[in-house]
Amino acid sequence: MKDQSGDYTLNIEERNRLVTLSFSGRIDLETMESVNSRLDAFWESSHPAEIAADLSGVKYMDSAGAMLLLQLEEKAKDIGISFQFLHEKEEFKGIMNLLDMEALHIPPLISEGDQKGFFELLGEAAQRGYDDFIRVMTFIGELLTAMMHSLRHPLAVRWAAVFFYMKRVGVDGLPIVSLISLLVGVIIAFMSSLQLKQFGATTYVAALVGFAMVRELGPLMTAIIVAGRSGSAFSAEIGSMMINEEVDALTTMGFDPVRFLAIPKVLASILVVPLLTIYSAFFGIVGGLMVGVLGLDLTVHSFIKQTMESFKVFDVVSSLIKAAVFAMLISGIACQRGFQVRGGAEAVGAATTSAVVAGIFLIVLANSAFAIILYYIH
Amino acid sequence: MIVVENLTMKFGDDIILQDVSFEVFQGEIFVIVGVSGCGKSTLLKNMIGLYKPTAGRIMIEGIDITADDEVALNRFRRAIGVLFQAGALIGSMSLADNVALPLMGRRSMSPDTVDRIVKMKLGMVNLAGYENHLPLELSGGMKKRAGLARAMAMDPTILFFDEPNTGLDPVTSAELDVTVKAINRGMGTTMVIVSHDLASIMSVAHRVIMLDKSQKGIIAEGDPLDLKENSKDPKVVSFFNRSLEGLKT
Repeated sequence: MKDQSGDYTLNIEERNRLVTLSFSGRIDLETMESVNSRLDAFWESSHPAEIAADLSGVKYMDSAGAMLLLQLEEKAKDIGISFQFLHEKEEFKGIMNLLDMEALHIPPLISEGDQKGFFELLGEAAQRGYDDFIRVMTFIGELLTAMMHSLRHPLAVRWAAVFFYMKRVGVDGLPIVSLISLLVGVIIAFMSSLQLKQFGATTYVAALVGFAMVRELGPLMTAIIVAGRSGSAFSAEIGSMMINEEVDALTTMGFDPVRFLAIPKVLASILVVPLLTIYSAFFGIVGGLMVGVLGLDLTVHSFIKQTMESFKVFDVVSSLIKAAVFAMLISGIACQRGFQVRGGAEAVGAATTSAVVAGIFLIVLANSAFAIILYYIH
Repeated sequence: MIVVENLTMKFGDDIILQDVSFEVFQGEIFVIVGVSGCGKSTLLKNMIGLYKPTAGRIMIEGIDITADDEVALNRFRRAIGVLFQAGALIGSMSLADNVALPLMGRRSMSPDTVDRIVKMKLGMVNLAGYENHLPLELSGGMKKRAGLARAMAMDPTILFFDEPNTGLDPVTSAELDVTVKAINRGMGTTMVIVSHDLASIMSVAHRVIMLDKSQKGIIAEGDPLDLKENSKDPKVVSFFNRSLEGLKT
């Protein structure tokens, strides 16, 4: 192990414009800055005709120290000063011979983060957005083709994988969906009761919670949780497979990666997210019931009756359709982002983040479209 | 100097290495060889402090890295360099930032000095000019050389290599061997290499130990050429002569 203690000394002797720089101690990474500033001061104050660097007292030199001395030699020779090393040990010569001083002057082959103007950045962002749109559209085309193929050839679907992802998305996600929905139900009931109390209409809390959970919040909350839990997992899984050339391996074995990897995830999501939505609505209503019964003196019977009257079969069916569409959007975009991964671990992280953000954006966008369409249909 | 004393390593009930002892001398290129699964990488990970042995002791330059002394272990880690199998460069950082990583936290060092050291280290592995490249823009061989530049950033007294030649073409592999030998000769760096690349072993090794899966330890030690030509152990003969002859009996 290197002795980290110890220091260096640099004696400068000038006689008839011959300067002798006598180094001793350690000339290494530790002492480099200090030696460097001493040498800078020397160059400013002295104008020698000849320099001799005496290394007889140097006990230890590493490559940083060797570089420093070679740069000293280089600088002297550049301005026409004769330079020589005195008492250079063999081991120091060995280190110096390893260094390629030319390397210090070679400019980078690619420049570091060029400063770009506003319009250039705007143009690049627009180009990226356009490219991304094209990629998403292409993937949607591939996904729909693969889905049609799966409908025509159900036996070609990897059902074992579908059931595996149904468990991952559905069963494993049930506890968090239930808990969050229950709490959302509690919050809606509590907050609405504060307003409705002023008009003596607390009995409508049940209807409000039931309607909100079945029509809007059940599908929306479930979809957002699935995007965060499963969308990110799908994207990271496929992204890692891209990096490890597993997707290339599947392709060369004659498998369509979209059919092999994306279809089981998308199908599992479409099948299981509507079920999760039912659970979500149920637990939301249970949360409202808790507030209604414990805080608003409503009976269980009246709360349930009010709730059941608040929505119709159309609302339930449209909610389930919405959930299935959300599921397709979340899993589809997650797989697309996964397939887009190139490079290393950082790209997987970026794809995962992008999958969740794009997933949630698409959910909200689709929900807005549903709100308008369902209004006119109803 | 590295001293490994009675090292035993178990994963659960699986004994990987049992009672392994050897020494690595200063300035030596020491190669750990053996067939896949014999525990070479496990031994290396013990020697660089990533695994804690089940039993035994590893003394490196007087520091017992198996003792629960975090301060000593950190001092040890700063004094060594490790080249991992695929380079293990941080993908989100440029080559310059990767090589500068070990220099981080040295407040006494100006950015200009760090920049010069980075350029010098990249130059030593023939990657001058590549400082702004990202690892994904490099070939496998370049990644390994960049990994070597990073491992050497602090001029460690000991360099550890985990299968440095794996995945490289013969020319790139030979170039890496030349760099390894030049650094060893020029800087006197002790080198511990895990490898099963015969050409490279013959080219760089001063001394080798051969590990065996069934023996869970060392079955041969010495000069690689001598082991190739004079060993009586069929497993050693097969390994160094790349033949199945010795194993047929």
